[in-house]
Amino acid sequence: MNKMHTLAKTLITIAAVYWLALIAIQIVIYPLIMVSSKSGMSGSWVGIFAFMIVQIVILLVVLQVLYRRNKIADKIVGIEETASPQSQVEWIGFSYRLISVIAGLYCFYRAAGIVSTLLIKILIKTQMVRFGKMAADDQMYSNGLILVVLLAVGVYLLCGAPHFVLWQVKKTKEMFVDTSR
Amino acid sequence: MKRQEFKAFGQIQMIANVCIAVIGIHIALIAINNYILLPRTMFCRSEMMSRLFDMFYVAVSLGVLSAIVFFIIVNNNWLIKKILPDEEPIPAENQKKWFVSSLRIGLVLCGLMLLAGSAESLVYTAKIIVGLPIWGRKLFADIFYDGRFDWSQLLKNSFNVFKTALIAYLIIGAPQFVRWQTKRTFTQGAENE
Repeated sequence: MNKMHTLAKTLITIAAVYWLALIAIQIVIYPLIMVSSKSGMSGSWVGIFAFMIVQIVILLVVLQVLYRRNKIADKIVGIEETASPQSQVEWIGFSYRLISVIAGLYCFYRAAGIVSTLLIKILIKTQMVRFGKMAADDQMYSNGLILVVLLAVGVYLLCGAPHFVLWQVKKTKEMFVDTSR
Repeated sequence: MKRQEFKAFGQIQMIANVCIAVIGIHIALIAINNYILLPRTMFCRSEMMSRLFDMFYVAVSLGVLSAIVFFIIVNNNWLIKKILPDEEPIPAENQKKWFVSSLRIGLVLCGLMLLAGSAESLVYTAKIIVGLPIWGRKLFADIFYDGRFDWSQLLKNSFNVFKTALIAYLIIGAPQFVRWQTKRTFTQGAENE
């Protein structure tokens, strides 16, 4: 295990544990908010059930990242790059992959937050239908769209964003040539 | 005699430089967001007072924003001098590579984090672009027929579009900014030597 592995493992662990803790707090807090609302209990139970399922799926993804941190660190560092760890340039691809994975974890954490917001909005809507149904719908569609964007970007980034990383490495190397003139 | 200017050419100094610039971008966005969101009318009873307060608030916000951009994003060597005053500089042939790559990686990370944190800006910008003809017609009708203009909505929409543009620019690695910053840093460094 070289320096890159250690750094990747450490950062992934810190980020995953941090967002895991925050998601766990959300799982406890939001159902309590929903249960504490007096009316529309039947709607609340369905909401809490849906909320718990989505949150647990997101939690499992983050947990998987945490358990497989060694494998992920191996993939982030890459095979060719471990051959000569002295060169400064080799760190570029590794750094881009590492930041992609960390940003991917953040996307999942944010998606968990959006699910909570979305479900609370649904709950409020069921209780206050008489106050502007259309506005509530518009907000919910927006939140749904944000959720889809976050999950799609999160999955791509967690996979190491291969095309993005290759493109960035190429552009960074081009910039070395540009700035050295 | 010209005073020796401090330049962050150590490995950790460069990383600190990038971290401070990224934090600066976040603070600048928070400052702009607070300016847009603060309901200024609640502090003032008369229209005159409201306008005076508005002018004062615009001046203060612009001042704060300029200070953040100048002292934290662009010229943050003074802060690194306080944190890490005497780190061994890396070999001269690698300095430029280290500076360019660390700054670019930091800005890309900032862009990705902003993307995750402000995904709603992306969706709202898409909505603004799709609804631009309707929104433009409404704006025209508001100004010419009703004689009123919804500044707060315009500010919110502009901020969302600006944020999305900034996210896209950071994710592609802010090439012009990195080039400009590298040129500035290394030209000044050479002049001082």
